[in-house]
Amino acid sequence: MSGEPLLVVRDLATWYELRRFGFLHQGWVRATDGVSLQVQEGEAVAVVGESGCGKSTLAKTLLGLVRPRRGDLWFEGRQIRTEDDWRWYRRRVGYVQQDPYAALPPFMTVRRVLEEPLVVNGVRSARERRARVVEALEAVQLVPPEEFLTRFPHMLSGGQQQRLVVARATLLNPRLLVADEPVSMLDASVRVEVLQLLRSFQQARRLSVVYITHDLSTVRHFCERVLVMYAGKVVEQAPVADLLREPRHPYTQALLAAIPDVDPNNARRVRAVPPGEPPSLVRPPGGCRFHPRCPVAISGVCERNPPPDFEVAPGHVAACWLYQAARRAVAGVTPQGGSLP
Amino acid sequence: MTANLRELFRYPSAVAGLAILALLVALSVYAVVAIPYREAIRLWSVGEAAWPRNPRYARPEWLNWLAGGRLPRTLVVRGPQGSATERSLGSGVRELQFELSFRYPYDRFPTELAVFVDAQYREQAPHLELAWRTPAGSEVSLADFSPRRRDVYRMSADADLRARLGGAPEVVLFAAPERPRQASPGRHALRVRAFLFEPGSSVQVELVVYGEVHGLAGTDHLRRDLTLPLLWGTPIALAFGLLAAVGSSVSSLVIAAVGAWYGGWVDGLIQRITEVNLILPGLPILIMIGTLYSRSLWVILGAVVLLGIFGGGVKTYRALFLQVREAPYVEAARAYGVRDLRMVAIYLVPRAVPVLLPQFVTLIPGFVFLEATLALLGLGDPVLPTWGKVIEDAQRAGALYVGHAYWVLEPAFLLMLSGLAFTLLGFALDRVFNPRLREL
Amino acid sequence: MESLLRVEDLRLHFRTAAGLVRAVDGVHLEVARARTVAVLGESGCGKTSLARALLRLLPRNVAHYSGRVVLDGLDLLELPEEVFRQQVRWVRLSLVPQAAMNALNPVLRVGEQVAEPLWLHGRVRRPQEARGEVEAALRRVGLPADFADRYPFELSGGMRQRVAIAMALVLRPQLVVLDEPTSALDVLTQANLMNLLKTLRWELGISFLLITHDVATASELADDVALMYAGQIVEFGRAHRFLRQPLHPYGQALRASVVSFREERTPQPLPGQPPSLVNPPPGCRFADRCPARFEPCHRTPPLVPVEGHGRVMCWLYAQEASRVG
Repeated sequence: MSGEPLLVVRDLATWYELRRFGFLHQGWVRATDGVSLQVQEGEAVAVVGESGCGKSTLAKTLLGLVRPRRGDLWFEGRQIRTEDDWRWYRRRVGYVQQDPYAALPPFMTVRRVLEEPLVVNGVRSARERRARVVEALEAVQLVPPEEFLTRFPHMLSGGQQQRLVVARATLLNPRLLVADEPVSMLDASVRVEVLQLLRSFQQARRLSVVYITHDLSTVRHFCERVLVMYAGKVVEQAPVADLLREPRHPYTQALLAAIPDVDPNNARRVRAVPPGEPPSLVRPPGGCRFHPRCPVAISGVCERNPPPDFEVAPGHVAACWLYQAARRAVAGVTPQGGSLP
Repeated sequence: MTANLRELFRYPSAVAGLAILALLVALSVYAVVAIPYREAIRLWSVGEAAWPRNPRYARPEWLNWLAGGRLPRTLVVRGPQGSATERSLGSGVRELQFELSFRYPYDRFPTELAVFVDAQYREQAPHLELAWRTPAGSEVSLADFSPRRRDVYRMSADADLRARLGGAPEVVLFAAPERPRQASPGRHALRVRAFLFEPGSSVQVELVVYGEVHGLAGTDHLRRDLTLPLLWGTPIALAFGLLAAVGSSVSSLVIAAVGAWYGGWVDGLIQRITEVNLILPGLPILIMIGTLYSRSLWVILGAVVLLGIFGGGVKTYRALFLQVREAPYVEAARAYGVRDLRMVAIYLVPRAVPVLLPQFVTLIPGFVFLEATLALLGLGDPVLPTWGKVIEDAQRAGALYVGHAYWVLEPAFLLMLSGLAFTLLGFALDRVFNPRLREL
Repeated sequence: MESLLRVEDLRLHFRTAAGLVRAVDGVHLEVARARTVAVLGESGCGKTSLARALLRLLPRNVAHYSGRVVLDGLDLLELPEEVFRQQVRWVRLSLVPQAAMNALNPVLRVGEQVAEPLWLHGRVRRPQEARGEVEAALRRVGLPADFADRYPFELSGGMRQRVAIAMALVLRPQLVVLDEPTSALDVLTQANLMNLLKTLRWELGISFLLITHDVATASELADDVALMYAGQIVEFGRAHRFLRQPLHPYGQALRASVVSFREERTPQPLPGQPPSLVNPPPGCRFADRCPARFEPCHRTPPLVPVEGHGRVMCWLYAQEASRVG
């Protein structure tokens, strides 16, 4: 994990316009609001947060499905600005979705599903297409491929559907895979299988993965680094082991405390959970967006100023005023939380 | 798809619908093969002259099963046969005498009497004297005349004869002496004396005693055999319904998909056109086209399809496509680079097939009925024999008031049958393709 | 321990296009007073059908429904439908259905929906009279009393789930069936809800039957675990033992597949697919996927009693039992 990062995102903001009657401007949903991140080649980065924190919007922006309102994006050193850039970029990114059944056209056979990306991207020879489809099926262990080619998605189990989605996402040999909650709709017993599959792709093909999830427990074995998002902002990022061992941001701490582990004593204790609900993204709270729910908010500070990123340990950054005294802010940090390259 | 079809056969209604449909299709094929299109058009538009030996207003023959065989069938007797006598009257004039004798078995009167004459001559036509001998033996002279080469002497229309007999000949000649309101069975004869003035001249005479039943479907006021329009009406009705349904639903599907996908002004325009179109009254427009421009079925079909393109379907399908547009699989397709047109054609439209197919099938009878409605309003196609035209004719003739129920009921039954077939099939398709409707 | 609910050989089969679905196929189960049993199983194992069978919320295509369900001394299957409706459903035994937060009527205010069971069971003459009880029910699940006047769409997912729980509790039943009560909710919301359910159990002395596919969720609430596989309960026993050391090979595999960030070990995927409920394989239904499969597994395994009140449906233990006995 050295050298030029594969993907660099700086101060990315994707807002949706709220309109009344379809045209009167009502305000903006600040789904992501100044997100910066880097993904190295062959690295798996998890983006963790609750629903409505902007992580899916981040995924869609990284896929080029929605255009950011602000911010910069570099891929393999090329800045993505024009429509041509986006088109070039999109071919290099694969997409694994949350609900595998909905992600597959119900009226297409497995073979059509996998041929479509090839047809669209100019693979004209039917023989080559077939060979690549078979190869892709084998790669995701839908074997023997002949048995699956003529099936429709509804004839597959949830795990098989998701493997098909992974096969489709990796068919064009992307450099980056964006997986948006790839296992949350699957049975607990099938989750490992899909996550291991993604992991094996990542390692065997030096594929980078952005893994979007609300479930921190799946992060440990399948990612190198974690970003925690809250209300449109990244509040903490760190290598997985660091974050799980020593979460710094109060929100991350709450998130970790809330995750049940298989422990018979769970039934006897009440978990400490911050009160309330995540804020509206239309009018987010001023200052630190977590301050209304934060058990350790510093009054007079947290509600006034948005916290910059503080590097609390090597590679471990938390956007929280608690660490102002202990550590210096990351060099060149702006109050909006974006770091300059 | 094949699994869906297999499942379709689990529904008795679908099987019934398909069976009826198969029957109708078989009828259509038979009609087209047995009676070529040109021939059908000719027979239908020529009318009376094409089938002079058919009775008017005859009921279908199978009604005799219910009536116990009492309804008279048409009898045809030809002559001269063996017993003709010929003698020469000098100067090349010959006298030919013969009898057309037949047994009349019914106790109901014939509906009409007519004598068809086929005369062979070069310049001077033969002269005929016709007389009638009743079973009782009395002889009534009918008429004498010089026929043209092909001539008909319609006894029932001969006012002079009527006056002499004191009533219609088919009644007076056949009435039983003791019960004048009933015909008496017995042997009648038409006596013919023909004077031939040329050596090669000859006459053939054919007596037609018109009955009350004819063929499978009966006849109308123009002696036309109703089998023709009933048979030929089937392919026309199916084609009209099918084409109109395909035309309007497929085009509104595509338009709705285009609008939903592109959004913006394209969608706005499509929506506004649809709204304007929806408040336009369809039937009056069709009536105007029929009255002012053309009554051709194909022109009307075109108008129906045009009016249907921006019909209510656009709204329904648009709502569906707005959901499909947000579907994850569409998002995935965008991610791997599918462009607009391909998206509409390959990702959006097929998604609507499960909704479209049953709707489309249930739409067909509506169009079949529309054709009949237009015909009933006098805007039916001027040349094509259709079910609607039959009903129109019947309605004009006041068929139901004078007891010719068959005339209305036969085409109505076929209309109903085709409506039933498509409806049964459509409902079953709906259940197969939209399993949420299924009551388990 | 006195059992509140006792289920014996419960069967619920459906007719479908594919054939007879044996969704519940000979289930034995006990729930003690003020305790929670988690029914744990993969999707399609019949756990939701089990909930329906208990509440007699049967769809029309039921082909076979038999067994014994005794709740507080009352044999439920023997009761006529009307008596069951008046005396049992919601009165003694209620349900928080799957995705309950999306099951609220969007055009009724929250208060009216919570009041509905009271009114239907004649506790109040008009829904409006139930105000006091409704507010108490909402406070019990941690919602402000004035939420009674809101519409479901004004509430977040977690709050709607609380409303569904309030509805289930409003008639003070002895047993509540919770069908996947926290799936599709966020981590913090899940934890909040679990806290609520724990408190309710302690305060009201209520019993829960928790239906879930997630071992971690089960560990949050369960005193006992009933492991369900292909329409049958293959293992039943104390949660603290099951969660550490499941007996049935299926339980062991399921336990090993759990992804956990606190545990060092790498999770192991569960190989293969659960069998179809239309034609379940003869003998042990897990045999095809079982690493410990051996000769007798092609015959239906017996229910082997373990540790006093538990049991496991597996030949491995039958052998042991017979050797010891």
